[in-house]
Amino acid sequence: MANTYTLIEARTLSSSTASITFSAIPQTYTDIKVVYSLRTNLSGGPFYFDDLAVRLNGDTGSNYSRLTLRAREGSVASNKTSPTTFMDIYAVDAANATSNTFSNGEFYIPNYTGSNYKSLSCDGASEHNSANDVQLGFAAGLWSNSAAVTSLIIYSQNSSDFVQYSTAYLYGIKNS
Amino acid sequence: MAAGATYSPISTTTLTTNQSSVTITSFSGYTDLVLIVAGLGSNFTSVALNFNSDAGSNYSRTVLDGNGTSATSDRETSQTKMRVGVIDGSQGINIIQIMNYSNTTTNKTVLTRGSAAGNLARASVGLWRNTAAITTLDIAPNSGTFSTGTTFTVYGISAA
Repeated sequence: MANTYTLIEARTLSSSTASITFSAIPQTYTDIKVVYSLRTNLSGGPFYFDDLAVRLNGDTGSNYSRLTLRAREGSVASNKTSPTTFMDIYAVDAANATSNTFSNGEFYIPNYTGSNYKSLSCDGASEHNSANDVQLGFAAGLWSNSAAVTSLIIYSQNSSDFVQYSTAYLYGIKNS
Repeated sequence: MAAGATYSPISTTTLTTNQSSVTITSFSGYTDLVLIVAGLGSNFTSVALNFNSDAGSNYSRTVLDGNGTSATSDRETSQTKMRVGVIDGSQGINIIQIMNYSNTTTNKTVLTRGSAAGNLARASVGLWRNTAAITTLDIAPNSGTFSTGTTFTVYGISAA
């Protein structure tokens, strides 16, 4: 039986970088999945976390919506945004978080080459042995666009940089 | 890592008409299963599972739901189906993991992430109180139908 869970591209940052882009995503899989370990350099305030954003195909229109379920500092909450010009998927560790600690997560996009609108499921976690902004979250996202996903970019909503050693891996999954 | 394939496609079904349920069989030979349900339905409702056509009161589940305003938890016991996922009228996804599905000594556990971005994000755990190996999956919306174009794909994960 074929193994269809395939690494398409791996990124490990050697220096601070504003964004991570996967371009020219092969159109030969059924689903794609991004697994990340990220931290940003957002500083100048109580910045234990930064806000992560994803755009598909460089689309800057108000075509993204998402709903989160989040545990933060011992309480739970849910929040919904719609529409926005990016997919506001989750929080990641920032400059004031415990040193050498990165937020980890993944997001899954099924049928990314299809003519349907694109849904997204994201799990993320930020734990840094602190009472401040430790978070566990799950996000349901929707890109209201029927185009095949050919590229995606991950970046900070606060225009900070991902720090060295941040990683992101793009996997392709085939259903046959 | 063990040699060989550890995440293998078993079957995929794409609906050509609206359907009230989908049945999947023939998935022996793996340790765990991952079922991806991607699409939409006629109603905003739960996605429910039944195993081996068992309609007895042998299912329970606990969910953590976020509806965009608040987070809540709910528990059901001794149900005739396992309502672990969610679907609505927009494109969504349910990632359903069925652990150790072929063993014949333990009850079966399911973990699910359900995404319906307009209505609900759901994290859930389900239990089927039966030690039989799972040989049949029935997937159905709690009400209404799955819509044309919805896909159901099963992957097998081998421990070795």
